[in-house]
Amino acid sequence: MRRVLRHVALGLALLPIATGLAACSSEEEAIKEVQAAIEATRLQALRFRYTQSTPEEGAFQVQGLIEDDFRYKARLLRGQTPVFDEVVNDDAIAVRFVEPELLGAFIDESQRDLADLDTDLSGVTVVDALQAKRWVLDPVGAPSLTDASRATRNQGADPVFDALGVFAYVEQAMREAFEVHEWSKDDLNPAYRASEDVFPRPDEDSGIKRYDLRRPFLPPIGATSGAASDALPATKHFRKMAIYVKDGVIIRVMERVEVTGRAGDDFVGYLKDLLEEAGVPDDTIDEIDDELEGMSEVERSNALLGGLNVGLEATGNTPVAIRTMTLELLDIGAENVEAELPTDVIEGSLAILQNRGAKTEASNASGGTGTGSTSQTERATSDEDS
Amino acid sequence: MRRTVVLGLSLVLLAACGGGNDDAPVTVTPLGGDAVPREILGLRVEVEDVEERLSTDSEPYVEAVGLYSLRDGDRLEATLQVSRFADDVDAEDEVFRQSIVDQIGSTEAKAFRMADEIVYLTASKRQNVAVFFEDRSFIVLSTLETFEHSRALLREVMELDL
Repeated sequence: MRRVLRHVALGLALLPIATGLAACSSEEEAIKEVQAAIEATRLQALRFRYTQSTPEEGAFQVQGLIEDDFRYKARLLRGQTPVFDEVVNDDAIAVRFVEPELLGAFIDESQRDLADLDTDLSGVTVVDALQAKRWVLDPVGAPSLTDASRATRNQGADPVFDALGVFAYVEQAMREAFEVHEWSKDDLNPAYRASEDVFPRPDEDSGIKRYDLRRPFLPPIGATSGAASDALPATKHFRKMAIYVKDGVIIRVMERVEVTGRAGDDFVGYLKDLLEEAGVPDDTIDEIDDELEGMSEVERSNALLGGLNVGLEATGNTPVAIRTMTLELLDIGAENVEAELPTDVIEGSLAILQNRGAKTEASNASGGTGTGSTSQTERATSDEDS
Repeated sequence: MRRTVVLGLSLVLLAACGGGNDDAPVTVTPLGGDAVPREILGLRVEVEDVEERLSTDSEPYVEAVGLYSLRDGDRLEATLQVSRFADDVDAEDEVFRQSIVDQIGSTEAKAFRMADEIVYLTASKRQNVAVFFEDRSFIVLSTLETFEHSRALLREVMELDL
């Protein structure tokens, strides 16, 4: 597999800038229906279950509820193990670590020597309280909603933000897709061929509509004009996403960024052309082909996209975000979806945690303003750090 | 601090004048203290004088404007502007609303849901700005960036009958 990675990377490094094909939408109606469903869902209180898995990070899940955009609860799980709980209620945030051993991964290193760690319990620091699995309440430490960095951060950097911002992610994916296509079991031109369609098919009488994002065509090899962003393969070329709508609201979103089935075969052909264009000898290409033949679907997908990413990163381009994601929405519009703060808490600043708490700037560290409200700039800085 | 209040008011007038309505100016009435409670989230509410500012601006969309300062002791923490649309304005029109929102603040306003209402958040110089619509009014709440309870204040303001 290492050889495949190396050659795919080489091919990418030598690939001239090509012209991307502009996506065009022939199904305006489907886009409107999905967009309307997203807007309608955003207006409802609901419970959610968000699962994401990547080859590097493994699987995690965020379970929770959204009362509104300023009030929510979230529990992060790694595999089946709860890691931490979080409740945001307007300006306040409460956090507790169920697995304190994992606290270190959530520390904001920029605040390690700056954050005020005192609590309302004499001699007990915020870190002590979190390690003791206690709730810590920061009355003014809720994360900013409007930071630019929150919108532009990498997926996976903050799983709770990923879960809460999933509709923005879906909208971005819709913009990047060739089209939004309503699934039908008798469709002669489905978005995904049977060999690669892994998404559940709604029963006819279920009232559930499924919308698939059709991927844009891979950029042509060898062209030398056009925008650089459209000239190389990117996540959008490998993203499969199915959006499920029932009664005018979103009930589930599933995504897989991979190359499997006949799309995988097509991509192998594409890569061979690419390697040929890059001057890789025929017998080397045949060797790679043989190696890929012996792989399972998942191995082949990971080898192809992994190799592609080496090439993309080597040429300063954004790697393909290989991942699977599922969002399930429950109790949409239910009345009892409320994000109440816990009562048995220790009060202190949560600035020591990434993306939480009012950050202390180095210049203010000795000035005693650590409990001040977080500025946009300070919050942006904290998000970047994550 | 006084400048912050004036800045807040000028935002409202800019929004109201920017929609391209060529109708003759209408008289804009200042809203008095009756429009708001005397205290919100523990902050003392004071009516600010807007008459002088109103007399120099044509206001085709707004028939009444109130500007209020919210203070903790003497310290100004926030300003609240309540503008009532004129009768002939289609206050429910989304494009019209968006055109108002787009003119407020120095960053692109983002829409969020608080309870059952949509609120647009943006920022201005050292201020967090929230804009929302209520029947025939639009409300702009500007809080100093250092004020730590801006969301709780916003929620309380949104629950008022403005």
